[in-house]
Amino acid sequence: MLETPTSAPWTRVPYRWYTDADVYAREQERIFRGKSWNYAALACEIPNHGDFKTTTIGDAPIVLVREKSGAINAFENRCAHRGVAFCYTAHGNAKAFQCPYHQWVYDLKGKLIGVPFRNGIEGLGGGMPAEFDLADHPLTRIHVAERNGVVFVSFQDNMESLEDYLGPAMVPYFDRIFDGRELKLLGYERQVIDSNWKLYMENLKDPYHASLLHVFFATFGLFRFDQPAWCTMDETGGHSVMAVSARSAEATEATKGMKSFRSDLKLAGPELIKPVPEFPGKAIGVMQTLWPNLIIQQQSNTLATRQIVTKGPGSFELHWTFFGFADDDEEMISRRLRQANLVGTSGYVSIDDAEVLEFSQKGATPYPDNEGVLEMGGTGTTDQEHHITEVPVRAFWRRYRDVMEA
Amino acid sequence: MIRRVEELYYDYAQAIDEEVERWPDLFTEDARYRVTSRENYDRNLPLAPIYCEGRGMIVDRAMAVRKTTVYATRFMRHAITNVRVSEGAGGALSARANFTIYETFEDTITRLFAVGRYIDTIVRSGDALLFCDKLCVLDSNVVIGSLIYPV
Repeated sequence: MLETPTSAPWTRVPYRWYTDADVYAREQERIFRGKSWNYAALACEIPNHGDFKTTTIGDAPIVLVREKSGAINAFENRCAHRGVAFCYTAHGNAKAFQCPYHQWVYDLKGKLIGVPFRNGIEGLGGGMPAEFDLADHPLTRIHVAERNGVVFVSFQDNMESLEDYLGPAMVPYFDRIFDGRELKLLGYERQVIDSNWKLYMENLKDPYHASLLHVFFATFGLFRFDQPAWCTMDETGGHSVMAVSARSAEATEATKGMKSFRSDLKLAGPELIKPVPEFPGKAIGVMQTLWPNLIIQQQSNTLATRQIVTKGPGSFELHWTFFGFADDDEEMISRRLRQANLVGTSGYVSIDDAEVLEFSQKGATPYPDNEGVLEMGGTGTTDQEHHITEVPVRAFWRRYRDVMEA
Repeated sequence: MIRRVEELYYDYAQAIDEEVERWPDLFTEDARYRVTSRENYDRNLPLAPIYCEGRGMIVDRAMAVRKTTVYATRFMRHAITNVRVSEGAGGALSARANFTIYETFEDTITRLFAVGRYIDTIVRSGDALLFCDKLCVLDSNVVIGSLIYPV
């Protein structure tokens, strides 16, 4: 057993946190069904009255539906009768939800409005007791918050507002992409990765690996140590931003020490990496991670939400929702679609990450009493103006310890 | 003609599985190559995990497999079946086929990786047949790990 430094415990990560079933169960309760705003959808996925979609928060299947007033309601996907996940299609349009098992029917607010044979059959008897009241058996509603077209849910009552939850350091980055313009859904990608879900969060908080692991990034000038870059966290440490500005594919002093820089390679289809600036500020790429299950990706002109869905300690699914804006012209849509080659289930850089996370899980699983080390860029958890650091990962573990050990 | 189209598909399978550098040679210069999921296809959503416009982008896909992508060594095996061909517009051929892809790692048994269908347009180029539009629709919406090799 190694000793975790008491002054900066977040510089060490016990490997059992990636593998232990009890830790995983506690995460479901404390994190995903705890005091969190979980990402659930883009509002443009369910634009009309009656549109619904299903998704999963941690282990918990939920349904989101737009009611007549335009509000979005969310429920546990669990019939009040026998616990059936009553909504078994990924998306659609419904006037009401009917559980297939005994055909209990709920309205779009989750109110139980029909129970077959509630009064039995005349002459045969049966039916519910006289005191059975439909009002006592609604679907379990969960809380919904929406900001500029992005929908979050929480299983907890008395949550702070979404804006307070994100905090003043994160809201401007969120609004940089989601500035209130109408969003346009471009499509989905989903994949299952055999590693603990937290390894993925850490990956998107780890600028240190970006120009080392990703030959494609380094070689074609999309992300490299010699570019101006910064890391910003919120007060809790759970949310973070990795941002990079300016770009160059030329060889410099810094590329000499970078084995991943391949000056011999050229793209036959270079239009892939020709972005057009479209957001305010100097950043050309921003990855924002929001506790506990969301990454907002702006890589050049390709935009996506990446939703983490846990599947036990050793596996998770990543659900990518690619989007643009309703006022995009055709050229911009094409650009977003072309640049999507960089990321996703077949992304020139994302493949590397998915593979390495599986190697991490494989390496750590037999050694629950060993620990990972996070000391690049020091031992602290405050913002830094470069990317040769693991500071957002340390901040993440600070938040994790606060939530799990409280 | 069906026989010649089948030969093209078998050559395509062999190219991906055994000599991926040669795989772009089976496309025209202005070819489009896309791999997408059933849900994107059914819902008319334009996003595709692999989205190549022009042979340059197809060449880069093959280059990435060999030169820039980090992944566990694996061997792919494509089986292409149920080939059907009809005459399309302007002398082009419309072709449909099913694919089954198996994946084998150095230290594990073989597993089924993906199944789906090809919806293709094929043109004559001299004596050869080449793909000028190839759309691969995966039956599953969820990829096992990543799409590292072409489909």
